[in-house]
Amino acid sequence: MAEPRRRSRTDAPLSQQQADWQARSDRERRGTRWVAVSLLAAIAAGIGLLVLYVQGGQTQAEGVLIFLAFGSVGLALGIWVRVVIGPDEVVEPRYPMASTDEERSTFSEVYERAVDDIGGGTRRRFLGRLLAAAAATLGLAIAFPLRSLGPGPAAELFRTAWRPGARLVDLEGHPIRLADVAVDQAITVFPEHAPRSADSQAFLIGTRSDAVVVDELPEQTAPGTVCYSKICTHAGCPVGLYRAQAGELLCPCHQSTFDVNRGAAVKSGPAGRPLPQLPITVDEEGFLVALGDFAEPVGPSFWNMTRDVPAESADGDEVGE
Amino acid sequence: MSATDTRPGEGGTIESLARWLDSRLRLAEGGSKYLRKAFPAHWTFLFGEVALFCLVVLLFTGTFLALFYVPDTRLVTYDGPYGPLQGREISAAFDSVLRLSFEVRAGLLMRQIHHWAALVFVAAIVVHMLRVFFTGSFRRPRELNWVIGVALLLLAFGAGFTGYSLPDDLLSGTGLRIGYSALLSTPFVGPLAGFIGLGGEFPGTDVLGRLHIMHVMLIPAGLVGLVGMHLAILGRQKHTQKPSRKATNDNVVGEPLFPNQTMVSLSLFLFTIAVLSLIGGLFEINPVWLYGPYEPFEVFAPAQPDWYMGWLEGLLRLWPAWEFTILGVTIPSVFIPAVLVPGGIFTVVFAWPWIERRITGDDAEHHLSQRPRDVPVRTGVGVGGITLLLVIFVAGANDVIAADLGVGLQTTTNVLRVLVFVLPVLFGWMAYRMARWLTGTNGVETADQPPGPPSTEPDEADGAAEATHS
Amino acid sequence: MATSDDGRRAVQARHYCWAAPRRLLTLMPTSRRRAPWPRRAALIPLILALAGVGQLLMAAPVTAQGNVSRGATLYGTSCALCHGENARGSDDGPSLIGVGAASVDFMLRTGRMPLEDPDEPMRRGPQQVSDADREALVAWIASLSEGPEIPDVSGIANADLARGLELFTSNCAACHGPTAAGVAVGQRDVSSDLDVAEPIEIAEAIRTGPGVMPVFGEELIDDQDLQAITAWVLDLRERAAPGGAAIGRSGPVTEGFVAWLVGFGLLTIVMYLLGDKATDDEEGEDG
Repeated sequence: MAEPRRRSRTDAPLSQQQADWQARSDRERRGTRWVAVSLLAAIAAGIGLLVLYVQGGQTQAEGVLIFLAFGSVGLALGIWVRVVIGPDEVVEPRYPMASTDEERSTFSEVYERAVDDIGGGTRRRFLGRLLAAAAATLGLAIAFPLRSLGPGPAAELFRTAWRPGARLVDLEGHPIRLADVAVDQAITVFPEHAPRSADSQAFLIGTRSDAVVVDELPEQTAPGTVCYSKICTHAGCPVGLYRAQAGELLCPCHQSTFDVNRGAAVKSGPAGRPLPQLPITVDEEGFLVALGDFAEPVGPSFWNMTRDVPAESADGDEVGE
Repeated sequence: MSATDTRPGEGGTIESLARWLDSRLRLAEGGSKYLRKAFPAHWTFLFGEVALFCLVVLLFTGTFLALFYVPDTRLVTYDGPYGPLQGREISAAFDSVLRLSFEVRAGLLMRQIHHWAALVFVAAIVVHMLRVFFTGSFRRPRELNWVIGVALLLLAFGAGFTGYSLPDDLLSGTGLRIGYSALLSTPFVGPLAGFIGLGGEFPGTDVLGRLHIMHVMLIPAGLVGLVGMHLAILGRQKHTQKPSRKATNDNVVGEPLFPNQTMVSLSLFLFTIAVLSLIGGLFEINPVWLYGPYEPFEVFAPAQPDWYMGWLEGLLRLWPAWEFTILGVTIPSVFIPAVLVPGGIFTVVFAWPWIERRITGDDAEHHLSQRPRDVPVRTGVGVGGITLLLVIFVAGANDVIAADLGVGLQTTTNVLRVLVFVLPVLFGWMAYRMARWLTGTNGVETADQPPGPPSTEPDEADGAAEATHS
Repeated sequence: MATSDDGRRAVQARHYCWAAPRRLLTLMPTSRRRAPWPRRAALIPLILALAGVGQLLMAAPVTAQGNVSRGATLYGTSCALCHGENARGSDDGPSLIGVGAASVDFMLRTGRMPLEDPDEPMRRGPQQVSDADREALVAWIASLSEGPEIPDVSGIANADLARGLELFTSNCAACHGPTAAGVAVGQRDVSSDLDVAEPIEIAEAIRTGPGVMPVFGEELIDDQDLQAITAWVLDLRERAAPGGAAIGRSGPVTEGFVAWLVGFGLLTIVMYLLGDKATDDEEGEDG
């Protein structure tokens, strides 16, 4: 049965194609020549690539040679199929996707018979439900190790490493004296005991004299300076862009703008709340120190942020780090 | 019937191999049909193939990269050939990317081809999707493949985002930070999911390992699996085709699978490799060595994601500062633009075949593609939707545009906030009017011609046949 | 097979051989014209000499005295209208007491001052006064009060680039971008594209914070670090792109354009040539 069908399949289109080829022998000859040229170019590019690689490689030349090598074969095949072989057409019938009613009813019969074999009536229904329950339980049990991937959020989101008496240090870990803070200067600071801590980063800014209109923490600011969390309350980018003349902090990611002279209130942009302010003062040696942690959670607002801080934070542990 | 392989092999090795296989797998019976399977050959049907070939390139180059990449945030001292970072404490991950770029022969090329291929991959998916949308090729019976296609687009986003985050350079870390913030804002599960994902509070120590497994294993497995289903369903349902004198709803007119379509696809595959290699070699992409390693307290402007994430970035930049507390529960300002709106948009996209059926009441089986002008409402909605996404996309680069045009930053944002409402309606309406106008003039000419206005294409006989089934 | 050392040399060689084509292929706006760095390097001694004069003025009273009095005269004719008598400021311009030599030198050198109209924004341009007049004005303002002195950038040739990159990322990139190309940083402000700035100008700007830019004092960035940052900015301009054309180095925005226009564009041409092009009104298959 396979034999005659195969023969008829190979013979008919071949003779058709041959007739086509004769009619367009000129085009075909030209096409064949170009296919050959392209393939030769591919071989040359391939050899070039090999040589280049052995010689030590060069990114641009590698890219161009791979382009030439693969592109030439692609071109050869393209010319081959479009010029040498030329267009061809097949028409196939198409039937509706759905099975016929007869097929469906046959399937139902077979299926019902098979189901009946499993067991009849109430017993089957009971066992079926039990099986589903077992599968659900197992599914849950299998999903549970997901929870091992990390600790749940406790107090970390509410607290940072700042604590009373912590000196403000710069990126290099040098403590900062009040006298070091020039007007219009913005220094990224961390608590002395947690240098480069991601959630404790803050911006210490030397304000212009008398520019500060609203001071959130009037008794807790060293003269001529304010200190705000450096993490944007919108999407958490560092608010790294200080527009000194305007007294504005601008987040480079989504352009939330905070007014340094008005308690870092949002001036424009998508942030929903001000940057939390760090209470600071000057110690006996003239160094700037924190009076405590930020009053509110730093960084982007998160789900359920307004609930009470979890109990673990009450004991003053450094959950933040 | 089965003893054919005992015949003396008169052909070459290929023929004897075919004989060997057939005598074990019985391939000739169905294969003969498949060799001459008809493939409608319009050039716009090749967009999806380009996406597929990009995926193949991504898998190959990605495997090469994975042999060098180290998903580890532990600090090492850089001592490679790149001077400006010598002696710097950087993560092992960033170190491995630098090594790959500067010390592994052809490594930089592979990295660049991989990144460019990712950008072109999503571009091809999007254009393919638009073709399917505007020609109505998602209608019954192809709703399933539409849904799988949209899922593939989402997986491509996921693959892109995780890949963008792996090098641990300053730009990638910024993107990750924003993604983490969006996660934290999600009701109920947000903070827990964020902590579990990162293994603790940001930046976490486990995040690169997790992203790496997602990027090289889970997401590619999903992509390959869904692409397999996509193709299997395509093979079962066959292609749609443009209506013509020959092509009707009851047949498939096209080029034979072998040799024509095979050679076309092979040629396109090779050209895809070629073009990606060309831009991979000639255009610098993501020069992480200029950005430096990620530090949580550093950032730079302009910071943009790869293009396909631009609309999400734009939403974040455009959305007003709406943060409210209801019943003691805070809805963070990022939640709506970063989670709710994208979720809504994709729900609509997923459900579009059913939405349209609801509107038109057309539940017949369709195998002929439509001209966009013949379905003015869908075309209008589609153009409006694309315009909306384009405006949002542009807003993702508002700082670059403001600087280039010399317009104020806030002015740019506010203008875009207006345009995001005006332009989609305007362009959608214009597309609708233009479609009506085109059919108005064309309908008269083609009314008597066999192709006919395809808006009347739903085949009555077919519809009747369907009705008996359901 | 080459050793890893050979590989490194190859990497370095690649840096340089690609430098020229990169500039040809780059999609950078044309306004980014600039003299090649080597040529400008020749200017450094001159600039330094000039800058040095400003500093020497204090130490050499005789010359300084002459320069200061000439500066005072110049100030009276060109600056006092806005900046007030004795540089105490007026409604049209800020006081210059305490701004220091570096600030005045920067403003004059970059053509931001003098302004025709005090309401105009300050823009970079060619220097509008002669070098001698600039030095005289600098000397006079510096004689009024203390302030940041003109920094010394004589050591940038030997500065630590690694340190420069690190400090640039943590202090400058937030506004100027990772490649110092500039970006909108506010409603009316665009951070300067540092491609055209002279080394001395970069150093002066860091110290004095012109416009909306913050100040970076010696406590935060010492003189050595200042030169390291300056050196990195200069290095960025000429640093070859090992990956190919730098396409403006403005990150994913231009990368997206290239992916669509070049990558997907070329493939669209291929698809068009390979596929069937039948339009709606003609039969495609039997051509």
